[in-house]
Amino acid sequence: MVDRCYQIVTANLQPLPQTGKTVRDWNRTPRHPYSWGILFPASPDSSMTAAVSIDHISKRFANHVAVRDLSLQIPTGMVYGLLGPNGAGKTTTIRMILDVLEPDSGTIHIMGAPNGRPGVVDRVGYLPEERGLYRRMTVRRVLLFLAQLKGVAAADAARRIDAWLERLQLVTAERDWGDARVEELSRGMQQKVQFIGALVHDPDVMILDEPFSALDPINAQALKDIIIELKRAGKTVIFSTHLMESAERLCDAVCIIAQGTKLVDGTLAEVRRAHGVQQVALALEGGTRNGVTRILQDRTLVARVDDSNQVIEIDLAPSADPQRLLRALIEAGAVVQRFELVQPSLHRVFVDRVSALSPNGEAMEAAHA
Amino acid sequence: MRKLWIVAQREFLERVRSRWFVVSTVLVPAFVGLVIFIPVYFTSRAAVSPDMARITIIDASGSGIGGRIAARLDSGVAADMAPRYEDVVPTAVAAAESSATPDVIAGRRKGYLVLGPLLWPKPDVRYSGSNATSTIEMSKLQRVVHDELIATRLRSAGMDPRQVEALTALDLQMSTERLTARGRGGSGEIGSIVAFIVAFVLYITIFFYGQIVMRGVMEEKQTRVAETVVSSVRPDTLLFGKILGIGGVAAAQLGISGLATVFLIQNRAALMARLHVEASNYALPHVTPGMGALLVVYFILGYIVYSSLFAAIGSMVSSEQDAQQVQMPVTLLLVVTALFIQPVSFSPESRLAEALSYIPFSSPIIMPLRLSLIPIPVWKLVASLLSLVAGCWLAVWIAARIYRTGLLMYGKRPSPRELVRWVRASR
Repeated sequence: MVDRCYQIVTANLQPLPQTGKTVRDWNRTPRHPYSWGILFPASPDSSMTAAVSIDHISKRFANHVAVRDLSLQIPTGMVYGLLGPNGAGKTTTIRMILDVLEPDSGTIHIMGAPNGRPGVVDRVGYLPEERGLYRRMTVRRVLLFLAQLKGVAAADAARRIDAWLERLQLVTAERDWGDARVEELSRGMQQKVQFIGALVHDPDVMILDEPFSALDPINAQALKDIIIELKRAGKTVIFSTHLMESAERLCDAVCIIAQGTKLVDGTLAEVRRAHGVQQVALALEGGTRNGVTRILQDRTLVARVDDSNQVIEIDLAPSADPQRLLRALIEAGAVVQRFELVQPSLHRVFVDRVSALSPNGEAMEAAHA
Repeated sequence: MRKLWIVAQREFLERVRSRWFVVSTVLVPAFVGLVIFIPVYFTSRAAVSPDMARITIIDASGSGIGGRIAARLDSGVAADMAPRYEDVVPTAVAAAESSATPDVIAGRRKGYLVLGPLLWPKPDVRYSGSNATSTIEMSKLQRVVHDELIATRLRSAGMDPRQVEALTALDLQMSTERLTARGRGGSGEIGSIVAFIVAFVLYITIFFYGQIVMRGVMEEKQTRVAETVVSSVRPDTLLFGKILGIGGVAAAQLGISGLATVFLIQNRAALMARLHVEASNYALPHVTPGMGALLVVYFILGYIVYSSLFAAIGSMVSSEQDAQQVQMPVTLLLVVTALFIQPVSFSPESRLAEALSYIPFSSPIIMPLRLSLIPIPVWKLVASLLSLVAGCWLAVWIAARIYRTGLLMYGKRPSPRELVRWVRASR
């Protein structure tokens, strides 16, 4: 099976609407002082150490347990999705990685070093879900402040800021928005400034909390491009989301958590395979549907049916043979137009796993939210 | 430490660059300037005003005093500006008055002065005119009449008015010195009015900059920039950097305003001379270096106590209305302290005053007040400072723990029980 994340990478080799250049072109173009070389000067060493290694962390708040004995290994150079319904503990986990919160128990290492050690979280870039900037500061001063807080020297930071402003078209021939106050910028432009703030210190690990929520399509595209470029530069990108579509398109590996507990983790393929359920997509010629109802109700063959009119999605019963189902259908007189064995979508894995945990269907709603 | 410095630097520079800073820094010296110059300036303007001379003097005393008054009022600007002098017999006063009235109503004269026939023992002097409500002009007129009446009396008693004036002119300035158990003077007392001003300035500035710290925290929380910033710097560092940076703004502002005020007061005479007005310098209170250092220490510690509490409040709330309510207890501590300024300045040695000097919430204001009024034994000063430092440490500790939790919590403001839990909880 072709991994979908690979597909998205190839998809990005199509010319980008803004620049007319592909990512690969970007990397090939000669580097003048204000471009690539400054944005990502050196490839981090992609040795075997995990970018982020979480060992048995727990976090309890006054009324509830936010994270329960969670362990994760996030390999270097991967795009990693932290998936879970709202309130699953994603943001708490991210805050613990960033050493904003302290786990009640357990340890977290970033690039092999404990995250509490001075300077370690400076190697991480963070784009929070709730975004905002100092409204009355000028864009350049805000970015300089954020870069300096991450330990970048002022002169170096100023060069990188200029390069990024140009790259995200905040500095154009008509107008230099870098000297405007943040409050003068449109929301879309403020979001761009926020990306720069998270990236300007050239982090080895980039953490994005619900990055695509409240982004306009242009900026969502820009952010996706940046994520792919970061991966190509050898960086690790971790993002949390409850939108399975974006996770499925972008991630190399994922982890699904709910109620503070890890349900499953691994590469996309592993997660799908581990799900166990065999699915069949079935399409029949119009008039022949009535005859098959009895077969689809046979619990030795079929565990569940999701009839979407044009396509009937069938979960096979455990250890049922798809060939037996096909034979039964034909014998019943059905005219089969399509009979395809499919891998479960991430969405499907997510919904099954999470609703198994909380049978009242809350998780389902959350997943669709 | 480096991050603390970066945070403090941002707080300082962004505020100092703002228009607000420039305006409010200039405002204080400007106000002092107005207070110093305006009254003197207008008084002196009134003194040279030629209007006063445009009056009619109806003199029924027969002593010729009216003529001398007219001569003193005459500004010599122009003939029609000179006082008109009418020497009349007592029975003609009513007629002279009724003929002078139309001139006043028509605006040709300012008014008329009637000197009755009797100058002894109680002179009968009246003035009617359009400017009768002008205090400055009336007091000048009264002074001139008064002087001339005395001169007339002196002359009739056979004395030379000039000689009397020379003999009675005496500018006495008694030097005073406080005598205490510790010796003569030098104990740093400043005087009750200045002490009062010092206490009040401390109260205003601690309150003002505490509020600025609170607004700063609320801004970071409400714009959600805190989410980004705490991923790079610990909440404690962010809090201390903010207090430090805004403290720097306070120091800059007080420094500029204070120096400008001192300059204005010290150079009052020279500046007034530029305006062709004669005035003396105000005497500045003598502040010893030790006393000055103590004032600064109390201000810094008081500022830290209150600004950290205000910062904690800013981190607890998500809206302006909540902030108004939650800050009440802290504001009350300050306001109640301010209410004690007057009683303490009247009786700085009272037991109440002493007690307030050991409470960290009131000592930053009450102790400097007492220090400028009376000598305080060293051990009491040390005890007050120690309790203040302890209070400072406690306030910062509690504030930092509330701040780091509150900064990333939204929605309902915490109940007192939740607050206790926040303070106890780990990060």
